[in-house]
Amino acid sequence: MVDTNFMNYPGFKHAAGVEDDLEAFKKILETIPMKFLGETAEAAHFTVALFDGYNMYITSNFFQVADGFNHEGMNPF
Amino acid sequence: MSTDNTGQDPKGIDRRDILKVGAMGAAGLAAAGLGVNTASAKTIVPGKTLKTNATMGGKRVAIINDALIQVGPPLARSFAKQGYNLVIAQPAKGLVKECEGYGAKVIVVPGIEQHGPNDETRPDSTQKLVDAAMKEFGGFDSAFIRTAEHMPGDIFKINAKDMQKLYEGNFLAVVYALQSLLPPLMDKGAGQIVILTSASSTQALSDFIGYSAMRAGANTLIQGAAMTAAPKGVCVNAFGTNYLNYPDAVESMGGPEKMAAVASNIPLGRFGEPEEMAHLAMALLDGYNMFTTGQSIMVAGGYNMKLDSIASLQGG
Repeated sequence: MVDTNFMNYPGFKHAAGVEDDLEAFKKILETIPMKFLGETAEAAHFTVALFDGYNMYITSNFFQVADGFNHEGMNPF
Repeated sequence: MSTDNTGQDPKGIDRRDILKVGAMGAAGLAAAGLGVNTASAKTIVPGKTLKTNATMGGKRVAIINDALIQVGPPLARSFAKQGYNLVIAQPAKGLVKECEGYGAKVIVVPGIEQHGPNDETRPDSTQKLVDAAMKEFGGFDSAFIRTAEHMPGDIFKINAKDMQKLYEGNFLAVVYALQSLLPPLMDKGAGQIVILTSASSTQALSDFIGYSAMRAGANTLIQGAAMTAAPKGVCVNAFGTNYLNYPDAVESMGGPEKMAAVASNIPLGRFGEPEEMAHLAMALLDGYNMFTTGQSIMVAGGYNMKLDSIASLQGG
């Protein structure tokens, strides 16, 4: 399973309510380690390596594609 | 108008530029026509040509500290096929010529053999590779580091001397590697690092408990380093393997017969091939995914996530 967050696609900005508010959008970016949204193509690039047939030894894992946000709590300052 | 767009900026502006001008703030970025995550703020799309931190050689550059066994050799081949130049140590027989055949310039740094005078437990081990990359190519983009000090022992068998070796080989070596690799990548504002740990870090083996514990510590260290490096555009991930089919593993498992018994306990029922691991590792190192960082990615045929069933507990 590949879990994504902070992806740059219309649904994210709509869900976050920041489609027309650049300042609010910037505040969201400040909460993630790299300070920008990921591209869906980047997540796809990693995901393809899990099902293109060249690696048949990885199963049952959860992979986070979220700019390290799932570890963000390690750096509260 | 939606700012979502997957197009690449025609001027070639990428997100590293956004990071460098972060102090401008959103309004300044918008005024500059860059906009945070607007179409002009992204270039990393699979299939597009990537920039490189290297100033010489005209290609992206990858560092591999162990090109002798396990994931290193197939990774070197993959990098070479993708148009990278290489800085490697202890290459497998014929590997350099093979990579050169794919068009790569290959720099071999001597004296970084495990248990040798400059092995990875020395503070300057990875630094020698970094120095070679800076000297020959003016920079590098990706690095794969394998540290490994295997030693069996349950809680009653491990001792201070053994734990010191396990600490130096599986934890301190990672500290040294990251301290050498991160500064030049963070200075350039882009880079990817994968550190090989072990799937036994998350599914510990009780008779390899010192080793498993040090690998678990290394995972946490790597996560912390990733948070430090993230604002500078550098991705750092741990890659933990177990039950790989390579000579050292065959020996440590006790030979092919015992390997077969071990394999019966792996959900996929077999050992993995290094080429399979390299295939996924490349997706974290080839520059086309700069949004996955701080992860501990375990590759062990499902063993690391294994669940029992009532039937299996009943011997069925």
